[in-house]
Amino acid sequence: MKTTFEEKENAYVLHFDGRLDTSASTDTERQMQVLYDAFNNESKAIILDCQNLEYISSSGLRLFLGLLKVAKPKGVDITITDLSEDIKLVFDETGFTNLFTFR
Amino acid sequence: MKTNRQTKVRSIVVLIVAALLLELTTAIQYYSTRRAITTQVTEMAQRDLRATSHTAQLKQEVEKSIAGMMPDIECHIGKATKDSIRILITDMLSKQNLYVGVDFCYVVSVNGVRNGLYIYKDEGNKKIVEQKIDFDYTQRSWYSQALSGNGFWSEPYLSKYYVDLMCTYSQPVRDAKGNTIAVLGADVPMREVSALATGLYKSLQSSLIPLILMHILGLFALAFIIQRSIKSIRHLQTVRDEKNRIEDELNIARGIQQTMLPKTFPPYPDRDDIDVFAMLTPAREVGGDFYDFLIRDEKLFFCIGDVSGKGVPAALLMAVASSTFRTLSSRESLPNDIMTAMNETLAKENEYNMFITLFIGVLDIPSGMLKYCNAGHKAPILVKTNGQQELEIDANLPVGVFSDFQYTMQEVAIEPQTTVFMYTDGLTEAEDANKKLFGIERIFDTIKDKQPRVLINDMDSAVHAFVGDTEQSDDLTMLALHYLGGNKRAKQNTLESNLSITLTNDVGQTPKIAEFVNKIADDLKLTSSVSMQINLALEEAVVNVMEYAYPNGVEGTVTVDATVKNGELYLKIYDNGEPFDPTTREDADITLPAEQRKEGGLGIHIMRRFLDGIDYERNDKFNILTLRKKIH
Repeated sequence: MKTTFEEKENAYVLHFDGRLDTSASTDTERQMQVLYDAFNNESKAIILDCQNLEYISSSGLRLFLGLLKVAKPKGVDITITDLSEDIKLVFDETGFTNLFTFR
Repeated sequence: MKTNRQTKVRSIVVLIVAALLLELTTAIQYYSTRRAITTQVTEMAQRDLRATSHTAQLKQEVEKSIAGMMPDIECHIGKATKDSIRILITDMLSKQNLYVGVDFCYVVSVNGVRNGLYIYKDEGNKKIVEQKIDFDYTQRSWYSQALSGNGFWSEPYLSKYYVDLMCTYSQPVRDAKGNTIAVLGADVPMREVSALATGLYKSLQSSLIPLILMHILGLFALAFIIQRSIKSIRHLQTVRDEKNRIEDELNIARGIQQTMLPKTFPPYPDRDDIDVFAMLTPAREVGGDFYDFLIRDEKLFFCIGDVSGKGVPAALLMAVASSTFRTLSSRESLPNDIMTAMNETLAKENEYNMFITLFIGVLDIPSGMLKYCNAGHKAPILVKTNGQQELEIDANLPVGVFSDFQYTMQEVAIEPQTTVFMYTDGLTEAEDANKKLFGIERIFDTIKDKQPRVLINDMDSAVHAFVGDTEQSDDLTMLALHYLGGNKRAKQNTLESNLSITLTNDVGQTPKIAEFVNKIADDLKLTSSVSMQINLALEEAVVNVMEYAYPNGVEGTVTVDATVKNGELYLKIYDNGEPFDPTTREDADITLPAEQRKEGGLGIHIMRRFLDGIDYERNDKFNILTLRKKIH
């Protein structure tokens, strides 16, 4: 599991690549720190690019939720892009579809 | 449709009869009136002629008679007593029949005193009666006209003393000096004229009465017919409305009933081991026949049944029976258990003593073993490569007759390439115009092809050709299943061996879970979606064990065994940590907004959403959690 951080003019983009299961979640959380730092410095829209996300379990969902709890109070929406059908089902079944914007 | 035409014919007949009656009445009325009028006119003309000449003669005679009397009367005026006038008049009356009464009125004196006398023949007692005139005779024309002339005839009038019409001939009475002293009036009965009037009235009356009666009768008849027609038209309208409503409802009912039966053929297009086809033709809008089939755990559950009776009552019982079969066959595995349970349901409160003949079969597709139970239904026909034969059946009892009946189960091995053909008695008992039955022999003769669709269509054509235009008298249902020999499909759904994996208490081991699930998915040819769901549920379950059964990082192992049974994947998770039952864990509330979301509970929520069953048990050392997931 690998994440890549990218700062654009209007948004921070975090690219996910691989399987975000329980074993990968601790490391992924660490990798996401760079996004938290940038966001704390300057709040911009957040895009989570999930085109190459192969799998997500509840520990991965918790990372998304944690990020949302920081962004929401600042009025920033989180957009998830290119989520596969199978993984979208996990979001649907856990009510996470209602929390994020999908594109 | 038939009744409709009858009603139409009847109303046309009624209208024609009414019109004819009216025409007849009018015609009779016309002819009899014409005849009556012609007769009367002729008669009247004749009578009139007679009466006129008679009247003229009568007048002459009266005038002559009065004129003859007048000198005598005038001679008595002034010199004689009043009585002498009276005697004279009485004498006048008794001597002749021309006039029946005489008025003798003196000219009114200067002081206005009237003095008048009326003497007449009383027709009742043949006496001559006299009386004083008490009315004002000066107002009468016979008096006033006579004063100024020599003789006057009044218009005919009705007298209160006589039946006939009367005329009064009046003349002044003068004294010797030529002064008018009084007026004498003779009441002349106009017998001829009276007879003419009465005759006219009577003949008119006599010819009109039957006519009027007939007319009234005709009107009554017409009114009755019209009223009846309106009533029957209204009634017809009501009946037609009611009929339309019932037809609409029956069509809806038919639609509902059709949806209760599997109708997509072929039902299992991606299977190469079994094919099924069925056809149901109700005799009326709705019927009491039914069939059903479904595959569960690689077993084909099927049934064909026939509810006693036809129409709506049969359809209602059929609905109960077919849904009961659905429910039971998703739970029970043996056909006799399904049958016995159905019988219990239907025999209870069976007030109308309806029953169902039913055949239930459960075909184990991998092995070709057919377990079946019959409840008074016709024996299915096995169409094998080397011939046809009826399946041996125990009769048992139709369903719904007696509760507590134990139905027997039978078993037969179905060879590959065999078709099982089932039908209701609407097929064998289909009648042609001569009441001859289609019968079992024709069924055997008709079966040429083992393809269920071809076989049933052939049979349908044969039965149609046989009955011709005869109306279908009973519901007709056919069900055929073609067993092509299994194992191909079954192999795809079996794990090569019982798979197992043991993990140490470390969440870093979760990639091994993914590998394990991938292996299962390959063996079972699962879709990526189902595979991911199994992976996810298993990971959540294992991570829960690691977090809660082995707290504080104690050493321990988690073992997962995978097996397939009845079309379901069973994942048994063993650990010897602290007792921990995840099924009692509270579910995450997924409706909450982000700020209120808790981090816990998501795992068990995911497990519940993606699995078909979670069972927990604890033996003396192990937590055993069993996950169940349907795989086809």
